[in-house]
Amino acid sequence: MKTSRWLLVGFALMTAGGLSALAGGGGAPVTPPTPPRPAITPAPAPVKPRAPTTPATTAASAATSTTTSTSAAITAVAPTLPVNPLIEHPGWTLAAACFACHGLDGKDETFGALNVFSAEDFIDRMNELKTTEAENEGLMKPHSVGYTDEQIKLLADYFSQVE
Amino acid sequence: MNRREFIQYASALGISAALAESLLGTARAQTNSAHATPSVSGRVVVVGGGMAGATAAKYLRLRGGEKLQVTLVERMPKYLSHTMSNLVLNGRRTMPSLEFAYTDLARNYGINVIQGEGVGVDANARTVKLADGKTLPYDRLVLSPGLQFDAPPGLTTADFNGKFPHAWDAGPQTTNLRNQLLNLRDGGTVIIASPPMPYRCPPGPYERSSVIGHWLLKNKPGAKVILLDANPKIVVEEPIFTGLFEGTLKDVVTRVPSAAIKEVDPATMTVKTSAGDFKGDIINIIPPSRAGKIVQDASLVNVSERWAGVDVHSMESKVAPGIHVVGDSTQLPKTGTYASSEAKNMADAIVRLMRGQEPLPSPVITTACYTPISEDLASWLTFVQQYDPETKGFKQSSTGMAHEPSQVNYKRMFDWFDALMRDSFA
Repeated sequence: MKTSRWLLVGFALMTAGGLSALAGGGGAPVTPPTPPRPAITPAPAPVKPRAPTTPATTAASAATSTTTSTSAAITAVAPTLPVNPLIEHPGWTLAAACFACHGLDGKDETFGALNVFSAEDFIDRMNELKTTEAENEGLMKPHSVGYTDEQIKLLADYFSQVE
Repeated sequence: MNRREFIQYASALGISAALAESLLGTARAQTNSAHATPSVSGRVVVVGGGMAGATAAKYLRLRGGEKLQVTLVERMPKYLSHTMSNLVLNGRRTMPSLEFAYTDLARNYGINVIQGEGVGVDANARTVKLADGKTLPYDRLVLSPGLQFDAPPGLTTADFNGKFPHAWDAGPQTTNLRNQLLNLRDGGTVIIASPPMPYRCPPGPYERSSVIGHWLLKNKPGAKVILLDANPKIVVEEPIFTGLFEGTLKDVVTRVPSAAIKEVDPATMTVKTSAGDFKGDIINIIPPSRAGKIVQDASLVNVSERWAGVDVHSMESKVAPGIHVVGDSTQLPKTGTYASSEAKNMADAIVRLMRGQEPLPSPVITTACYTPISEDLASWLTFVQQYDPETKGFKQSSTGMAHEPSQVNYKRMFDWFDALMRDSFA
């Protein structure tokens, strides 16, 4: 099951408990708030379809830049940035550290995509890693024991919501 | 229900106080976002496009969104990766394979990349001056200039670009050192001198000794490496390197502990140290270092007269509000993956600060790093650091290293390197 129950409980509390007034600044009159964006997407299949691996951009693209002797803007374009609906997720910063090896939003398969896990499976996997003796899995062992349980829950919730 | 009641209620349901706090934060952000723009407006200038600066620029845009203007100022047209540059010394990588352009950061994330040199900061006017006279205004400034290296007594910094390359910044010095190795006589001696901690890439001097040692074994009969280590003990991956220096490399690499350099005599090619004098055909001094020049010039150095002290929640200077320092110039450990992790935490903190919010209370640093050992072996090192309220710094919460150098690690090292560089430059 992909739904992480703890977070559902948390948001149920917020909506039921009038937390919006608190969040809006204490005793301020309560404007009907926009309901919090549901943090949990409906549970699809336990294992999500895998995202394509981005090809390596390495030295090939390096050859295209220019050399100038004074300061010069290489490019000043305004592309549309990718919209990340999870950017305000409390686990984003923790998750971002994982992107170094697992790719943006954990979608790269080279070291195993992270967005294929349900929250529960993610937590189970991290628990398995805590006791692994396998050499290659060993690299992940410090990550499984170095985070608190709450941090692992946040990571699990984040990656389980990445499409 | 007030904050305390919520936390107590949550606690009764098995949700910890910390998690409840973060849920509160989320609710607040979401409520705010219903009334105000969720993104942030303003200008951030990043000076220095190494691992820290490039990652910071990209993640500021990812985190801050369209309205956060990010300018990246970098002296060089391309980044030359220090990571993997020891493999240029044994011919397994070429210098062009370590080049990474800034064009992807501009094209994919709308970062305004300026090739130029930041030479001064006016903290009152909130502007950065470039070498060509141009002035860039900022709301928040990020300085990530890397390191400045000190010449040992007997040498000048000009010697680094001549007969005594340190090659601790990848570039022409790396090629120079490679050529010196190619020209080394059989039976010759390579002296590598490692500085006292802290320095960039703690495994680096041992890695370099090992990579060169293995190369000498195959290519220069009778030649050897003398590693003059200013530190009493091997500072990281100790079992791995002790195993090598007492095993495969026993007749090739000699590590001299606690060998602090007193002087280098270029005429006789002698390195005088607290542990004796050593003569070499090649002298590769990895010099002590300090914060980059622009950080020094902005008077941000306040730790050990070398480093910029920063608040680890935000990497904001402790002496200059609005100016952040990230990467090798701070009091924190100095590696590429550490800098990447710092930069992401900082990007989040800057966005929060620009919205009038506090940075996250308990930042975490995560690193994973492969170490080349020879032309086909590598090891790895990884750790997690948690915020420590007592020291207001980081405390190691876990660490691990490879069981032993292996070919599998060597192969995975390149996957790791590609992923890491993609994360920072593409």
